[in-house]
Amino acid sequence: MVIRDRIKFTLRLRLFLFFIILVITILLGVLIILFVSGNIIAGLGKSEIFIKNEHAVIFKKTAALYDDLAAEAVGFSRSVSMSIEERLREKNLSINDLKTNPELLKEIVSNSFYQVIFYLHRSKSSGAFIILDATVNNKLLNFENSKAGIYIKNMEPNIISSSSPTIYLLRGVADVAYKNELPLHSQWRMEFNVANAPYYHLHMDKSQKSESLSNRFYWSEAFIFPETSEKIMMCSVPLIDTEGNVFGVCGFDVSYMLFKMSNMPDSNMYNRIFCLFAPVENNVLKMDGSLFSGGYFARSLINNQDLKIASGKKSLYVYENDESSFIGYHRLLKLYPEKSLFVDREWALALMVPQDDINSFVVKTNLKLIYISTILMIIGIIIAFILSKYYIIPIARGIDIIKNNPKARIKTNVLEIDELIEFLLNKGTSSEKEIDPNSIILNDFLKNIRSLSPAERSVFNLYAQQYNAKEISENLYLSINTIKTHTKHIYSKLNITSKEELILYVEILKETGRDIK
Amino acid sequence: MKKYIAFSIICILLLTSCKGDELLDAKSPVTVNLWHNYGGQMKNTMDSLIDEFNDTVGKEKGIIINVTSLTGSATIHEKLKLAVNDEPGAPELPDITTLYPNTALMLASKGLLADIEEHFSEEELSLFIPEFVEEGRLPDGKLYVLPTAKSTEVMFLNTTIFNKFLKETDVSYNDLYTFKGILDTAEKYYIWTDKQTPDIENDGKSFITYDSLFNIAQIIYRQSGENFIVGEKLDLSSHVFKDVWNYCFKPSVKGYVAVYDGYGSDLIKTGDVVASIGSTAGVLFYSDIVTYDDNLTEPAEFLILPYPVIDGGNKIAIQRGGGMCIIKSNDKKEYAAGIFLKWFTNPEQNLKFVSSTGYIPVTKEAIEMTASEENVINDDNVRKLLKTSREMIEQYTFFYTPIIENFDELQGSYNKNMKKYAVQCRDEYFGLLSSMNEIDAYNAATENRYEEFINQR
Repeated sequence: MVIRDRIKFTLRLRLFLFFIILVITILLGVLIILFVSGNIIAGLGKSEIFIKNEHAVIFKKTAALYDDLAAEAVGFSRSVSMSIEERLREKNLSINDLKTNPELLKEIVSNSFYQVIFYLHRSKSSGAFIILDATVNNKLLNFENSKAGIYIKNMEPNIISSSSPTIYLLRGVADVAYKNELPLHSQWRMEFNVANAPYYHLHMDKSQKSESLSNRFYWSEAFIFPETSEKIMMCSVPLIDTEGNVFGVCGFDVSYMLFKMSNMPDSNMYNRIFCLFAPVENNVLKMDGSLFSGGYFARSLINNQDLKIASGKKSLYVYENDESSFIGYHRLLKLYPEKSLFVDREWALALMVPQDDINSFVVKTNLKLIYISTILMIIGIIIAFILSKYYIIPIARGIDIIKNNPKARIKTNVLEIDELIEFLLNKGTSSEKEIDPNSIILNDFLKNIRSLSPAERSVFNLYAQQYNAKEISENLYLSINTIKTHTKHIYSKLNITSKEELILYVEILKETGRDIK
Repeated sequence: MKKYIAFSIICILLLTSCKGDELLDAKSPVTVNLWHNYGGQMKNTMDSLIDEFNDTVGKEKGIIINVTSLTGSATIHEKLKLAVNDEPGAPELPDITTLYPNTALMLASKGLLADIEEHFSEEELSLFIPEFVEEGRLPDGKLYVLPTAKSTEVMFLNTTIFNKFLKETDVSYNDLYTFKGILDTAEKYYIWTDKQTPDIENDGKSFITYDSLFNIAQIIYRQSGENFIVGEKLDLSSHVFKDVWNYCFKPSVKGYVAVYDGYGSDLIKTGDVVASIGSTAGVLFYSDIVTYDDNLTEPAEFLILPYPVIDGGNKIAIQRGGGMCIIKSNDKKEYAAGIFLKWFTNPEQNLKFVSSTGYIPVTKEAIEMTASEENVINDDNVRKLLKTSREMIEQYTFFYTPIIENFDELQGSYNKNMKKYAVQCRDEYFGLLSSMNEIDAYNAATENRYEEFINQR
């Protein structure tokens, strides 16, 4: 009872607050649902799903490309080894004769042209090569590092089959190009420089003799092929004669362009997303030996600094060096069979995005949610305000009607209020016929009249006769201020607020036949 | 009322001027696919320019240029043909492609090309060399091919070898400005190289090769004031063709000029020839090393000479190199493509491109910049080439080949037949040399061949 006296709520305020509670409850409910479903941290969750899905697609494609190329390279080696040995046998010559007979070497290399072209097309690689352990001129300086062979490049390996593919001779005897109407690559040389070529020297190790060819193919790290400007990865397989002697290598390359075009990540969500295929050593991605694919916005991010792998949020990883930090996902890609001589070399295919981009995406996504919630809240409050206002209008009107025009039968078009007015009217009518002598209000009024002082009573009597304040002042020979003071006291004692109310009470009392004297 | 009309006009003008930019949204960039033929060493330059565009103007306006094909112009023609005819396995048409006007004719006839003048104002086009722009205007009067980088033909000379020859003979660099001088030099070079191996007769080396016999013929005709192509046919009945025969066929039969299906730069790489006449755009294919048959190598220095002129002829050279066109797609992509082309042909970018490719700039300002900002050009051969190109722009008149549908066919069959005749007669000539002197052997090997050639269908 005390509290009710202290805080008085209007009906409209109560309704408004109820609406606000409803709005907040609904919004909280939505936020709880979003939180439970993982959408409240949408940025990171969404990024994780996107990166992992995209990674899965590229990983599958890359694994298939490298598996196919390795298998083709093994077949290529068998085919080339067999045909070279066969040609030499026809001439009653041996592999060793290649080292001393330049013309024979040129002929053997030239005759391998169609095999190289065949396997180049079949493998869908960006280049196919044969390197023989021989040189056309062993009188030249550094001849030990100069090896004869043939290297044909397909400049557009991932473009639809065309009747005129862009094929160049990168290494080999120029006559091969002339005879086959093949242009020489702008960086053409006659022979291979194997000064720093693990893809060649690793196969020359005689201790590998007993190993199966399938366990001997080797994937080089990505490197700029000597005297060219293109970064490539090479898959090389030794060329072995029937006695198991290695007399050269052959294989394919995966150019920077081929890798890029085959593994371009979807940049709709992050335009700086990129993919790396890199050797892994001690939990570090070796950038120097990696291939990269990514949009133009991503290219500037990459430098030759290795990236250290660390665990990140969710199932993502963090990749860092002194200059940059990325978030992404990687898996080791098995390039070699279990029994391979190079099985300990690990490669990872990673898909990553600059950390800043992920952070700003998360902030952006959550800010969006906060903005939307705030806007919804504001809209809810406005609607609650308007609704509560309009809801209360008929009630206020009904009260006005009851107060000001109790006899009029005016409708508010709100059923309950109209019924209330009707009820009160009916109540009023029945009172006219049968006035309750015990009416508390009237009794109180009468009682209060008696509490008036004589002077106040004189003023009251004149008010009851519908005199106004000025007339009363003249009648009683009192100043108008005195009359006002008496009037104030009268109102206070009678619990009324106006002269009209006073007259109304007097009229009701008269009508009910009660004496005010 | 007048106020309202004026206000409406201003509003319409403002809306029209903003129309293009409204199409683009930096937050949702439009990807414009590009096919180009700037491969090999030109690729890096093109890549870095595209990077620059994507990271600057592209990023600001919401345009990403994405190269979806990098191949020679012949392959681009083939692929466009496949795509236009919707053949199985055909690629999707790009939004911008490099091409020659003849290829553009094929696309324009199917209504696939956007009018460049819808994207470039008259004022913007006036900054270009007018002849370069006009080459891209097709018979319907519309400009479909915007010149992005042009080329002409010049003579590349390996001075490392030539200087050795110069020391021992009475030839001069001054001889190399006319066809007659070059062929006299070629004869002397053949004799000089033949003498290097006294024990083997008639094994002299060719001095020069021509990348395009067809262009040689066209230019000789023009220098003589005539047209090689009349209507849609070759005019072989003109007396000028006799000059062409003497400058191309005769020295080829005698071994002074090498007949080769590929580019002269290949024969120069192997030391089989000392000089070649070919496109400026091929400059990067000239290696700084000559590799001989025994894998012996020697460095190669080059001199780039203007296109030779026939005796008494006009200084006329061919204008080559296509341009880029916008393939019709939607307003947004076409507008974005226009923005890229404006940026790419801007003098600053144009200079960057030509500085490392061997092309000639397409705007007057960029041509002037090749002289004033020579220091930005790193490649020696490109610097020499641009110097020669500037001289030619000053002294020569350029012409471009007529845009006719059967152009490729005419060019292909002429080149093929001329080479076939030359090779047949050369083999016969060298066979006869063992039994008769040079004049008789030549006459016997080439008897009636001229008439046969000009009368063939």
